[in-house]
Amino acid sequence: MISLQQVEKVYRTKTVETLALNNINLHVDKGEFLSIMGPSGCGKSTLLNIMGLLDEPSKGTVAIDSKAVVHFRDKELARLRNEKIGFVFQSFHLINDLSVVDNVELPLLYRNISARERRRLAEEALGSVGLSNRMRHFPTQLSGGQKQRVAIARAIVGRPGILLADEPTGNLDSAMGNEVMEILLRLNRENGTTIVMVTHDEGMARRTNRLVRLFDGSQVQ
Amino acid sequence: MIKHLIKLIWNKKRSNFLLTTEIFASFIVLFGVMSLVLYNFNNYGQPLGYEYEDVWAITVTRQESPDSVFFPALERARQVIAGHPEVEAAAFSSVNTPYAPFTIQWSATYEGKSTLAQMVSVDEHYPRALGMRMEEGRWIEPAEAASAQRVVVLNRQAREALFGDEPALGKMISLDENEPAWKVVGLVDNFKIQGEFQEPGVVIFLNSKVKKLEAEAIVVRVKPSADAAFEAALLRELNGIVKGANIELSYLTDQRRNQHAFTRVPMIVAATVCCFLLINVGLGLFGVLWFNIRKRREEIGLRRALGATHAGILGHFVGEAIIIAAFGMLVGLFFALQMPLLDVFGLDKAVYFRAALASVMLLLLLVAICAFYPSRQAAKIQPAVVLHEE
Repeated sequence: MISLQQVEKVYRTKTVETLALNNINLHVDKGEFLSIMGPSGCGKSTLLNIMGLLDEPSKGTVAIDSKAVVHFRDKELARLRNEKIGFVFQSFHLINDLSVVDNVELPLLYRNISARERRRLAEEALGSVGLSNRMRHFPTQLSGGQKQRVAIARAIVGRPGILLADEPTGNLDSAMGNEVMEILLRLNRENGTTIVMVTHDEGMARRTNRLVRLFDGSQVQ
Repeated sequence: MIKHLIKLIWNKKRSNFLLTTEIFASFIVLFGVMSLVLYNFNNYGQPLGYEYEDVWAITVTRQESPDSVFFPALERARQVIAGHPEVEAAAFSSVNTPYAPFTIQWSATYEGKSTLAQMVSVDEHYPRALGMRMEEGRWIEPAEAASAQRVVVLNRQAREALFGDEPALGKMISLDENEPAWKVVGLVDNFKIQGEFQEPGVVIFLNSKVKKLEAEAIVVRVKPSADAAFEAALLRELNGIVKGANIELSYLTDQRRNQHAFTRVPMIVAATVCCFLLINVGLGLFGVLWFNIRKRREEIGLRRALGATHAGILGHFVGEAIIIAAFGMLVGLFFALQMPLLDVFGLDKAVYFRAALASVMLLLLLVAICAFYPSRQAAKIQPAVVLHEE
């Protein structure tokens, strides 16, 4: 599903060169739930950004569904992100000026889908995370756990095959974190969604199919 | 997407209120200036009705001489002027010659229909002196002029005001209820006596032998060879003929220039003020959009992650600015459209509609230009960077 070969990422300024990722070779199978762990600054988020086509590797190749995307243009990358990948972020990134259901509809705005169909899919996605009764609310009226569930609904509304979660439970207490983790596990189990999750929580990581550890930009496990 | 943008703007109506108000105020000012400019431009495009090149207006104002002395002397003066080889035609006129700062107006009536008309007292030589063309009928004939017959020539606006679509020739109109009626013998097109920027008005030319006024004028068409020496000699000659009168000679081209300045100066001042206002609005808009984009980096990153392209982000922010401006302009249009509905200044309704359209187009263009650069910067934002900013 996702394949990274000899991926290297270097951040350059005029005076400093930082190696964020070094020779990463990673293959994520369809339907797999993979977690990535490592200390802060080890390159977890950079790796996730490269997998999510939000960033380009300095060297190496990235393939989604066996198709190398290195030379894809902006429009093609945007379409791939929109159709194949869903994102869940630690700090939710909901738009406070839009209602919950409008936030969930966002990815569908970039597809040729009617307003009625968008609304139906958004309501369905909110239903699957147990937030049907919060559709007209605004993000500022929700708890952290509810916000993250809205973010998950937004990530799955377009039915992508891949879900990339960057510390999805990082800003939540353990009860809410468990609630969110349960939803991710259910999505993986019932829908066969491929999930790659960056986490600091060893317990959460153990509940996934596979664990990858990074240290100083290199894969150590 | 438009619905989404409207929803987003509506949900942020408080923060968009000032910008909308600024656009509304600019629209009103721009609409006012545009209406003025288009009104004048519209008038300028309409036929003038006469030729002003190589035409002199000689105004003769008597001091104390009685009619029996003044008018025969004036006739003699006209004949002397017309006899010069440098002169092509010389005609009597009341003082309201083209471009002159005088107006003589009173009502004309036909079968209960009344209109306020500019009255020009003329003789049979007037159309030649001013290069006028007849539309229908004929001008006042020498015999009618000599025998003081009550005949008039109407311009198009006078005919429309008094007769509508009916034929006018041969009809009798009243210029004073205590006097006999006047017969319409001819029709001319526009006659914009105050010049090109004047809205074509109602003008009636009447036989000068019937209506005498205190000050009179002679309109003279000269050959291009007529020079300052001829002008000076002519004035000396006239002073000798019409004794005790104040004689002034002016070129219609000079009077035209002065008349145009009266129209142009307020228009230029208003347009300059408006330009500064628009620059101010543009800079304000630029600043607000720049600030908004700085504030919305996270949202931009998110949209990019969810599938928006560079062009999509650019279009999103330009579109948002245009919709905010459209709200302001809609309110402005509501007030602007009261002008033709209530007929506030009596202008042609088309002027207001064109001014509204031009103002909308100009403001939209300004907003699009001002929104373009900040939006382009927004499109360049790296999602991987901003989505990890705290």
